[in-house]
Amino acid sequence: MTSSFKFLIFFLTCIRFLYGSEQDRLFYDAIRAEASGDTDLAIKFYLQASQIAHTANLHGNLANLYFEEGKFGHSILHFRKAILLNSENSELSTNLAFAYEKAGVQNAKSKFLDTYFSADFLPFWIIILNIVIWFSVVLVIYIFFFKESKRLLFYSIPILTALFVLSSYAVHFSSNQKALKLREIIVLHSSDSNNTNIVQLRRFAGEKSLANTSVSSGESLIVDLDENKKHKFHKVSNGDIWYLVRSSDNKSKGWIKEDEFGWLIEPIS
Amino acid sequence: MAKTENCRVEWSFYKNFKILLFTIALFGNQNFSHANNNSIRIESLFQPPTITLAGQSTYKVIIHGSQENPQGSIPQIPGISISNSPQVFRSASFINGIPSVRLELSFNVTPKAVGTHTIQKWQIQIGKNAFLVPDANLKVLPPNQQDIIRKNEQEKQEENLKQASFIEFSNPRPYLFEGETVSTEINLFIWDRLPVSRIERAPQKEGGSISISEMGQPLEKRNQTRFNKSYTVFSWPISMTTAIAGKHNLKFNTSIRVRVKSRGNSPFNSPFFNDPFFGFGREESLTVLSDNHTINVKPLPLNNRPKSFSGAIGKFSISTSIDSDSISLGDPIRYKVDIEGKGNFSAMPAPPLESDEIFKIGPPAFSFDGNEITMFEGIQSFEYVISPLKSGLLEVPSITFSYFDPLQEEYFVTKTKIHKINVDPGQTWIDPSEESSSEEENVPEIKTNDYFQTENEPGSWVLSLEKESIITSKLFWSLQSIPMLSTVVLFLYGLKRKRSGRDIFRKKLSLLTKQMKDAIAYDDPELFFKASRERIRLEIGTLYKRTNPASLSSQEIISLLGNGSNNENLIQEIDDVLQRIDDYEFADREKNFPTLENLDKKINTLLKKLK
Repeated sequence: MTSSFKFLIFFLTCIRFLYGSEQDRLFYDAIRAEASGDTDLAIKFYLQASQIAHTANLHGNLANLYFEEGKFGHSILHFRKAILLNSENSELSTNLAFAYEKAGVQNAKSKFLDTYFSADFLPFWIIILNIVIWFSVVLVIYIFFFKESKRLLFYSIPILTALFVLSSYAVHFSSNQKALKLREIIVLHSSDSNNTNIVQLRRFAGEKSLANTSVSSGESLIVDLDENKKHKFHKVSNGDIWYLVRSSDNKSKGWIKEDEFGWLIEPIS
Repeated sequence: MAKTENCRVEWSFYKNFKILLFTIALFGNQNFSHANNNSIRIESLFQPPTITLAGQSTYKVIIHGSQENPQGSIPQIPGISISNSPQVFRSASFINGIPSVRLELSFNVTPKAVGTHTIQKWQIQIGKNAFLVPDANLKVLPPNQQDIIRKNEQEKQEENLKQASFIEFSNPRPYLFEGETVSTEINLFIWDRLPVSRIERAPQKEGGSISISEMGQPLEKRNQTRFNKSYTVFSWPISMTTAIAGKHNLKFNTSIRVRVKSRGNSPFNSPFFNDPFFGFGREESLTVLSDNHTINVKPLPLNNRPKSFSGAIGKFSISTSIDSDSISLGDPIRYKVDIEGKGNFSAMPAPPLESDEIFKIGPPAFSFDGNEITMFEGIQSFEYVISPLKSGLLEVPSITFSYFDPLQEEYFVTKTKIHKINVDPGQTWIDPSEESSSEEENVPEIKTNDYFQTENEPGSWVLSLEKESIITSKLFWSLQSIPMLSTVVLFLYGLKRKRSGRDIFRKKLSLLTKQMKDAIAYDDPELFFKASRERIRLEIGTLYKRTNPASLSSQEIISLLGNGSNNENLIQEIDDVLQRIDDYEFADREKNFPTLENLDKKINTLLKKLK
């Protein structure tokens, strides 16, 4: 390696540190705060950084700190966010499973459908559908112009139709899974003075309403949609916003206050 | 007196009567519409002139001597209703050699009151001239016995249809309280003679502010008698919970599928008189409704409401138990709270039990022993795990539970008994989290050091956790150009190929080959030789790029072959084949030929050798 090339590398490294972005600065501040034992300050810096941008490491570190503080709901939320960004990191998955265990929440076992028709597989199914469509078009042109074969037509039409239906269904299912992910929330803690790990889902949007059922910190819920396909919420007179949520198995349903949960993917306001 | 009242009402109607204009659509031959003012004569009459109240009549206006479209406003008479759209009838004839034309307007008339109703003279415009339509009288008699029987039959039909299937549900109490849960059942009655194939869905509620529990499988009861008919009753036990105070309407509907014989005999018309067994043909859906019930919901009284009241409404008793009264420090005990009775269990929160310096209390586990669908009657259990933080004789605090009894309309407060636990100091108390790991000695210990490693580098930043969709990716759409371009090229090439002679040549060749094969199959030498000569002409003519191969003679074909690089033997053999074909066609049909099949093989071999 020539000396001029080494100098170029050094120069570029310096530039990176000199002109590091705001989120980088906050991340390194958090690392320093964590190293000095100031967990609360570290969490604060990480949260500030996450307001600007996201990385799997940021949410992983944040989840670790919450875990140390015993806030398993927050920990699960940020592990889930980290896995969204880096689903192949087995360390994050193991940590998440451990957090679920500590929180006493049963982690939903992934089913065949949820695995291969999940939101992550949506691009794959779109490409398959795309290939099926183009292949069908080319085959039709070939049969029409080059090979007038009734037998080929007889066999190819049902096969192509079946492939089209299957891949369309897969795209549809995966799209639904993706839409559900955009409505998914993680229960954090109750907003009352006791700040317990049990959060009550109310029958009506209001503090004084009776509870329909209760859920634990770390549990995953889905926000209902209103008739305009927007998140169903109600703003009460004191300014609190309540969302109508249900569990994925539809067994629990009720209203939950905005500060009692965290969005897996923050909705675009 | 009643008649006078009736007349007054009808007169008021007459005053408010809106003038009816009618214009008859133009049709018919205008040559016949010639009208001589002097010869125009107008008649009016009711047909029939006397009817009963249940009958109908026709008001006719007949114009003699013109077929022109009249214009005018027909007066409305109280006591009868005249239709707006008349039927028009034009006729032309010769009477004693004199041409006669006629226009007849017929209005449907429905009587409303008994008596004699007269339409007074009214004006009509024909062309530019006005004419008067004379008076006409209609006598309406009271309904006769036949009318009464028909009306009764119709009412009976409607009543029978309602009685064929209906929903019943009863509100157990005259009024309910806000948040109260009551148990009731919804009964679907189906007449045994109604050929029902299936119940399409469980009854659905109409009306808000009252929630009902999920409907499970119905209970079936046979041979239930109502209205002197035998019914099968399907019952759904439900619990009904009120939400907001006030008067709320509640009714239920469902649909059942019944077999009907034909479209004409639909169950919606008259299933009992036309076809009492509904036949065994196709199926139709029949909507079944319940009566409308008004539920009166009162707010809970504010007076004497205890502070510990958290929404339990019903009649309850509470008891508590612990699984052990003597433990070592650090050992957890199970503290079970059972609330038994009838009421709104589904809306009942767990009794408040908070950790303090003596006990660490975990969140309760819920369980319900009873009908889990209605959750109205049974035992609701809350099980807490309590860990003592001190040693000695400790007391588990009692729970104050209050509820509102809707029957006595009163609040009740009960307290559970205090449980005493003897906690021996045992070994030094250690943190439960550490305890749990030490308890699981046989299980491979989880090395938490391996978990939760802090990453010192942030990694690559993204602005959103939502992954970009492939649909919005420019690369995806750019890549679409490759298959699209290939498809377009293939299409254009195919189109060009289709339009070029190659395709036509291929089709013609295919047709001639088929003809030759058919000729062999049916032993038709004439067709075979004709098709063979055409094929030889086509293949050789196309090979040597002749514009019209069909016009080539045998000599021209041979000379073309000579121009090519074909050997003499091949030319001679093709010439021989052509000669045989010519011989058959023009002269010597009796001559011995090789079989058609052999000749076909020979022609195929020769044509393949062409250069």
